[in-house]
Amino acid sequence: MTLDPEESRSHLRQEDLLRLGWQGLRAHPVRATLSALGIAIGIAAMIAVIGISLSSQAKIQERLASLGTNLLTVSAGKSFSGDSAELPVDSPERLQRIEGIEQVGWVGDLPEVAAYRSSYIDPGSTNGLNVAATDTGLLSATSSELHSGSWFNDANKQYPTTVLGTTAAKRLGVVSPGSMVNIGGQNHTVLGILKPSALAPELDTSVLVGAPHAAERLGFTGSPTTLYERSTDASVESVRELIPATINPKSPNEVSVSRPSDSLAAQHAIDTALTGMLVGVGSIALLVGGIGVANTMVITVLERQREIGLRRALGATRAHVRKQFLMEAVMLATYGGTAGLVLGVGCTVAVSLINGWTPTVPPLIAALGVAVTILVGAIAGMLPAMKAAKVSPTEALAA
Amino acid sequence: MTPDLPLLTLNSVSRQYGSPPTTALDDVSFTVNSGEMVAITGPSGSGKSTLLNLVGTLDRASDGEITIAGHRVSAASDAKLSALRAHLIGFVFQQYHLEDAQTAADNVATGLLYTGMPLRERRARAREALDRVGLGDRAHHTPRQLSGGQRQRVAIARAVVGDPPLLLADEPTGALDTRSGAQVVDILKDLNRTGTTVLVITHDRELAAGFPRQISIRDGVLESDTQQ
Repeated sequence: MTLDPEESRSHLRQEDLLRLGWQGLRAHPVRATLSALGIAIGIAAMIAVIGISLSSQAKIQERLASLGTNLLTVSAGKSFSGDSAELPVDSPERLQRIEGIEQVGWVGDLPEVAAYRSSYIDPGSTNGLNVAATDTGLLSATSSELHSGSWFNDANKQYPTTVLGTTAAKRLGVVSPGSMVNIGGQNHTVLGILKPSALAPELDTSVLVGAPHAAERLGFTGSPTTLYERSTDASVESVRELIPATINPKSPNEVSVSRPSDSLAAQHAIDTALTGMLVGVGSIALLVGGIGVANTMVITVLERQREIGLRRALGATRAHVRKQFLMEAVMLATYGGTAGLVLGVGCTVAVSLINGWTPTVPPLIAALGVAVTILVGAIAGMLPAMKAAKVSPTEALAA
Repeated sequence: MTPDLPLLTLNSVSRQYGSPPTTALDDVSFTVNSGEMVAITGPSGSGKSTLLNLVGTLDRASDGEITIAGHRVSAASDAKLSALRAHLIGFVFQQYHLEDAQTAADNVATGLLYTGMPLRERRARAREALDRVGLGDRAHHTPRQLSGGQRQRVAIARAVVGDPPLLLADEPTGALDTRSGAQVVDILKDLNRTGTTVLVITHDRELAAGFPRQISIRDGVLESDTQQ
């Protein structure tokens, strides 16, 4: 009687290895769930952070695309002596002469003038609002939209009328056009109320009046404080270089030019840095989860000495025992990883829906998350599995 | 199968443990032919369990050589010894070592797990093995739902499900009452009649007396062998 050469070795089928791992977990469902929880939280945190950040990024990019990145704002900088400089009165006309510029709008602040709901309000309660003169081109140049009412036209800009920014309207208690507000001691009719402006947020707290009227009745000198211009996308950079010298040839350094879409992008960059930090926190949770799995596996191996001994007696090699416990650790981690993936995607969808974004979880990230948990399980299970393989069958059976 | 072919040979086998070494088995030699039924007796601490572990390739001899079906144990790798256990040796333990969470049939099927046989075939063979020990109707019971005698019969079915030429039983009746013990011995005798070589370790002299051959061990030394 000899060993048949065909069956001369111990052999464990792959499907049986999977079954052994599954049986091991099923024997202690509560323990398995608790130790998988650490991994689940780690993966859920990472997936949710990446998903939410990508979803909001998609929204920001969408906004940038719709608002355009071709808007430049021009304002008075500082003179060499340190005083705040003024822009020339004819700046808007000068701007329009630059090749590539398509739209120009501007506001000229009236620092001496305050706006009130009525003449009975205490003159100290200015609400932090800013009264400014403007011309008809502002609305389209800044991509601002009206919440209600209408914008200035060539006729009514000469009369005591006003358009309020969204915050200004709230603070003055104006809900609909047609109301009267008191600006510089005179009653003005509210023509319209703006929606919040993404690229020119300073307009939100502005009380706008027509330039001809402001010059006539509110002491407007005609010098703009901020100019808004839109050029073709291709000429943004060249226009940017031409603006200071065009507006103020004598002292171009007193003109400062900025690109509001840059600040939106910068805001996004800050979000990205925060995301990086949160992913770091998530990976720490994952690490702790991995240690939890390792801990559970060490206990499992200690508890199952007799089973190990029996399996060795039935023909399992050391490698079979090692693989069995490694498989169990990997399945435990994968269980946690899959639960974490579901949780993370759920969080992303929930937050996205609340904020009106399109939920974005790239399949690659999801696959990567599960792959990482398999790796964590394999690493966590390595030591306990090796310990199990080294168990002496005679001692294990006597235990 | 030739009845007189030596299935198991021990040649001056010794086993020492620890340091300073204590000798559990000292220079033991005997041969068991295919188809024999042997009782190995001795008081506790005599070294009979050590002997079983060595014959079952779960442990290696410090000295001497054991040969099972022509395979020399001392030189073999872990994989080779595991293969011997998977294909040539069946084990029965005093404490049964059954998996409580699984049915009797699945426990028996585990006996074939490391032969690489597909599950469907393992289950079919398990059913046959349970029939052989008279528990065909208990296939779906878990060990907790069975009596001690029935559990040991399930364990025997697991040991012989792969038709190993050598069956090793360590105090198989040690935890059983007289009647269940007798049933278990009858099953072992039946298996022997169909060609399985059976080696039973027991401290029960009455039980051993019913076996065709008895080997007695005391203080690690072979005391007597009825076939010499």
